[in-house]
Amino acid sequence: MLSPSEKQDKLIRATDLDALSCRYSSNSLSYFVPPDPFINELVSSYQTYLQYSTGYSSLSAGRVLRSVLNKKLPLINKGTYLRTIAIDLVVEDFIQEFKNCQIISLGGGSDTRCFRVLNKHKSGVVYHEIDFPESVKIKKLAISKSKQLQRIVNCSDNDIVDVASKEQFEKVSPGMHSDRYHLSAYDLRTLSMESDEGRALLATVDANLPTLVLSECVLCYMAPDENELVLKFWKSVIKNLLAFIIYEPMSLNDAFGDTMTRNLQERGINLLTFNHFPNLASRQEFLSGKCGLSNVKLSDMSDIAGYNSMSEAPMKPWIPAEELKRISRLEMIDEVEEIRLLLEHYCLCYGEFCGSLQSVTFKGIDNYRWLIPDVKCSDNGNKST
Amino acid sequence: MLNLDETIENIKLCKHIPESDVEELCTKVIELLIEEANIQHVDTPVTICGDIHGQLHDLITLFKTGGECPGTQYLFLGDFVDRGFYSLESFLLLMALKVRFPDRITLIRGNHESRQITTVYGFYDECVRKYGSVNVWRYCCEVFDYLSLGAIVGGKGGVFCIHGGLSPDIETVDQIRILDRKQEVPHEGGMCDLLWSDPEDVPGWAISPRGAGFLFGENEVNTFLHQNNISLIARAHQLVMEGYKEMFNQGLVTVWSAPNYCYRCGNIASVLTIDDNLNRDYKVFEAATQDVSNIPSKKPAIDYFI
Repeated sequence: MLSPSEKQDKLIRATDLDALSCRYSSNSLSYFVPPDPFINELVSSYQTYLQYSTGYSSLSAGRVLRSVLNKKLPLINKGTYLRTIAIDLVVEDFIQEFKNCQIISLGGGSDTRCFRVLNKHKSGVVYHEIDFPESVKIKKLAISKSKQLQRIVNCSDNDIVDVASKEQFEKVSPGMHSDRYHLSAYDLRTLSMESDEGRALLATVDANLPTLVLSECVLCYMAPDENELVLKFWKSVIKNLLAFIIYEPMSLNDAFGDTMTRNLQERGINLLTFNHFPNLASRQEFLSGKCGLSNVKLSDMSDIAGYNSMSEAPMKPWIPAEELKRISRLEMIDEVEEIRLLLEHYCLCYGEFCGSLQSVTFKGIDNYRWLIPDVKCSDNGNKST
Repeated sequence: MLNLDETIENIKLCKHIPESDVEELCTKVIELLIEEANIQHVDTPVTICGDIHGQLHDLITLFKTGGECPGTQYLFLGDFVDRGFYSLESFLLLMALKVRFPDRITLIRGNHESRQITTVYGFYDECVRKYGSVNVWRYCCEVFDYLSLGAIVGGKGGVFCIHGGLSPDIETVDQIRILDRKQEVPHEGGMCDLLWSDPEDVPGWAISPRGAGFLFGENEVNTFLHQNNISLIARAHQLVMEGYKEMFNQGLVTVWSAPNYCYRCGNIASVLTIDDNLNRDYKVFEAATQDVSNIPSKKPAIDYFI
């Protein structure tokens, strides 16, 4: 039997499958151009191995997979496309600007961005992914089954023959490392440099590289003080520019937010930052005031999707009008008010620590339109206008 | 032979309605609808309702709020099906009431009363899940094709009722009367626009983000009101968190009747009663139950990005 906290963790891990199923649905409807060729390999890894992971049986895994890999509503497909593209843009601009850099994806689970990024950038970029051991194993098994993925991440792990039982799954070591890819199992809530695991993790990280940390619906499952600890942990590690991009829901203290809290509680999911930082202003205060990040910028996905574009925006839109037109034609979107409402409740936040090296700020982040743009890092003499 | 009163009670209890009863009900409704004009004339007093979207329990609350039919006369502005978990029961209930009290309830077509849209937004899947075949969905879609496109409440100086809004192709109500409505909702043109368009603070006409219909501004509304000697356009089609929203110097109102839309939006709903003097009275109501215990046991999760 699982303890209540193990149960909670299982539910949090299962949110990865939910996100994967959304990407799978969007991808199969041609939202992504070019299509994402890696999603199917992750889906099939779940289909093969979920039954062996902690807390699942073959029946319950089959049930979960069937209930999740269903047809998604157009607004979910569109929202999934938007969140993926917005973060892709930031990652790509970061790589273009710094060339030699590292991306650290927190709780990325079965996300395929690592494969897309490493496939495109054959050198310069090191990609780290950190997640629960169970999720890491499912990803590792997906890679070990695919010559293509092995080539992209430049690792081959020959110690996995095949996994066909819970015992064999249990024995899979949760990690995979190469010169350009690090997949590590770690509970982000207990990150510390004092533990063996913490030291092992840090041995893989290059403290001197400009670093972009991604949190896509991950920090929202941690308490506010744990959020602060995570940010400060990385601050203590990275000596160069350390940038964060955070995507997650916020309640806006309204009826939609209340309903969302209730609906997710029905599924056993508690969002710990959702009501605590209910809007962009409170998140700005937390990130810059409490955590000390500079160059903090915030927006919501509704604005990023162009739903507030009635007024002439001075900045470049996140997604060109032509592209927005293309995706709005993929499915009949009859949920304009609803999708706007849903997307308003998701924020995209950026912030950075300028480390002790003579690090510079990430200029590319200013290319986009933010609802709350901030002033630049004041201690590096690199102010922009 | 269909026992209507018993069927109505069974629908309200979400009991399984035999396929043959559904077929008979659809046949009878079509016999009534075939006689109706594209723009139905409706006498006052009448209570106008917006989107229902398969939220049967909220539809039952709606009747408690506005008064039971036939005591209260009703006009429903379409979008009976899709999104909610009880599209079939909601539509069956409205059809059964129509057959039972033909002069006390008017149903007009929404953009979701369409084959194409119902295959994307849930009604098709629901019918197949509940009956194991597409027959029931087919019967209902045939009914959709016969639904009126709009209504005029209270005659001259009265209220023009439509699901979506105006069309650049249509200047007068008479132009609607001559459309051939008995077809699947087209992708463009007057009939499409009436079911898809939205009012917005725009000058003239603008492209709709929905990909069908247009956005129309205050001038278009004023021109249409004046030209057709009406005082108000009552329409649905857009979620309004407060249940209803008047625009353009009270020349147009959006009425929304699906509280906590999709079990997700947290909005309240309303109905609008037009009395004999064309006065407007809005009654708001909330979702039947705030928890999800009313959702069937094989409930699909309410989707978010998590």
